[in-house]
Amino acid sequence: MSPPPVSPRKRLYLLHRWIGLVVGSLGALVLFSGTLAIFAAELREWSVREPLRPPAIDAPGFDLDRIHRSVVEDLDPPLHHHVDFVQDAGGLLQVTALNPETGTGVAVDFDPATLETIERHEGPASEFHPADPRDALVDFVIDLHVFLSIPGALGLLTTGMVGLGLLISLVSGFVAHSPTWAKMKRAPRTRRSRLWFGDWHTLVGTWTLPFALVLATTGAFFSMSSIVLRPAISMSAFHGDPNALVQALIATPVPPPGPGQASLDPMLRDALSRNERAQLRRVQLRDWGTPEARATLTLETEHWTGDTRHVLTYDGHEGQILRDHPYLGSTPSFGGRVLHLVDELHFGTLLGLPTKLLWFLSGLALCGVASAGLLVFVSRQRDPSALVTRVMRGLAVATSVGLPVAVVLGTAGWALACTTGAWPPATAVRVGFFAGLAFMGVVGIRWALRPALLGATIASGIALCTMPLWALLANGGPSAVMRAETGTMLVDVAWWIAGLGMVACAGRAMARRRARAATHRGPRPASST
Amino acid sequence: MSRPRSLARQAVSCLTVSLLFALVVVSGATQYLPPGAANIDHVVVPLVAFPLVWVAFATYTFGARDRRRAWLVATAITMVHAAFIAHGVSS
Repeated sequence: MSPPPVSPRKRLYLLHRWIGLVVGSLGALVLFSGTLAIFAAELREWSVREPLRPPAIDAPGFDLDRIHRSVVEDLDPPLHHHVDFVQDAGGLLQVTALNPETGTGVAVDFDPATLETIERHEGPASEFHPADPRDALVDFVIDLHVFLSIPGALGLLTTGMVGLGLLISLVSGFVAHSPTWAKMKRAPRTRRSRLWFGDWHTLVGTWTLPFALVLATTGAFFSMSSIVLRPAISMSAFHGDPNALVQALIATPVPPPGPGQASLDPMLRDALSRNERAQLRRVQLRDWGTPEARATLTLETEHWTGDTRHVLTYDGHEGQILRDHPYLGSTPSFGGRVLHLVDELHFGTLLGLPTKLLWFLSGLALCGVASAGLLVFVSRQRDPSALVTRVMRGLAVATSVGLPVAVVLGTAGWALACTTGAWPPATAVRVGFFAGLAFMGVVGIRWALRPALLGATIASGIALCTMPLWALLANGGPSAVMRAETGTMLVDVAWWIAGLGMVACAGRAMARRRARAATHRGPRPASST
Repeated sequence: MSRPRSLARQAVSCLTVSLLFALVVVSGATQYLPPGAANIDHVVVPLVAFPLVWVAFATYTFGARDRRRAWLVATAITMVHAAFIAHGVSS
């Protein structure tokens, strides 16, 4: 006699459990690093303490044509065709003249306050602006989020699978847990840790469901688009030419051929008059000095409710505007708006700082949901000494409250590498992070669940409080305090709040446990004298 | 013991085959969706919808009460889109 068929709900519950084990461990790394990456720009300022420089266009006597001439006048003609002016927020003005065929050229760094030349490089483009070793910390966070520290296409494929796994985990979890309004209002029961983990998983998982759906869908799209989707779509819609797809999306305008060469300053003034309070970020001269000459100006308007980017292309002969670029494509379109929305929803930039903060808190909550799911699985195992249970317990501890310890060890490795120069900082931060994860995993394997979680929470809390010290060490010690901007100090305060909060949570859990133990023992019998 | 193993095998096959089905469907959809003013809508919309198409196929083929019917429907949808791709590539 064959066994009765398993109901659809039971099947989806099992799927939720299996996928959840993978998403709860690997996905926790992607989610946690993505949560930190929301504030990547602020973390970069915190880890690389350089004075913020003013916009170059505010410098007295700023003249784009004069800067252009000063860079290219002594160069061979092939280097005149391809020139870039770049000034990131608070950075130097960098001008590059490059021969795209040989990959060599000249780069000149200007002080944006005085417009004096600071440095001039000649040679291969890869040697123009070597990466600051202090950037390795934030680069690692982004690499972990996008590639899970796995090189190349395999890394993208892995994070894409994690995104799809999170998506089906959400759908199957919704069916399996059947959230009701009553469940959504119920506080997690504190009687037993297993009940608390389960209730927390359902409660927070339900409230963060829309956010998680958005993140999983957009994240899977971003990871899969370049390695899987682009070749497939190119084959069906562009006769197998991936460049045709990219051209359709970017839609670079080509001006009608003409003689002469336009001045850059009138273009800049026109672009600024169209976008008040915008700052110049980039000027790209392409095919300059040829019949197809064009200049593309990128400006950015900064606001606490969100930065706006404006891209305008001008004819290189008459200086007439060819296109005020939409986000994608040649003209505003439904597809362009959809992709812009996907971008804003994934990175939390929809409404600027408010949505970034909301995304950050929701991201942390989602990490908690994934960890709580793993902890439910571990606490349901009948034999706590079985190998599978111990390994899962190690994973659960390492990818939940153990993660901050790994972050701090990675940061410590980065700071020591920046100070001593003994190892490349990129290697040091990677080794420190994964050593921290492994250490927390061993704690989870060797200790029982409750003491392991408590110990890891206290260790994480104390470790997080040391984060400002590591940033100071990487930036030359106490003198870096004087270079701290307001944003940098806010990041320091955030680390302390997180650290003290974790210690306070652990203390509260210990007090609750002691109180419960005292209740179970009951009142001491009165001594008979 | 054999039941969970059999279900796990079914889950793996549903998830992986759904990936292939979703890839065919989004590629085929570029052939009939309107291109829009910028000539990119027919490309962008299927690209963005890919994860949702995949999760719909995976949930339907694994969680349906009548799984045989679910597979038939999913395969039929995929075949129609494969025909669209063949038409687009040959024209």
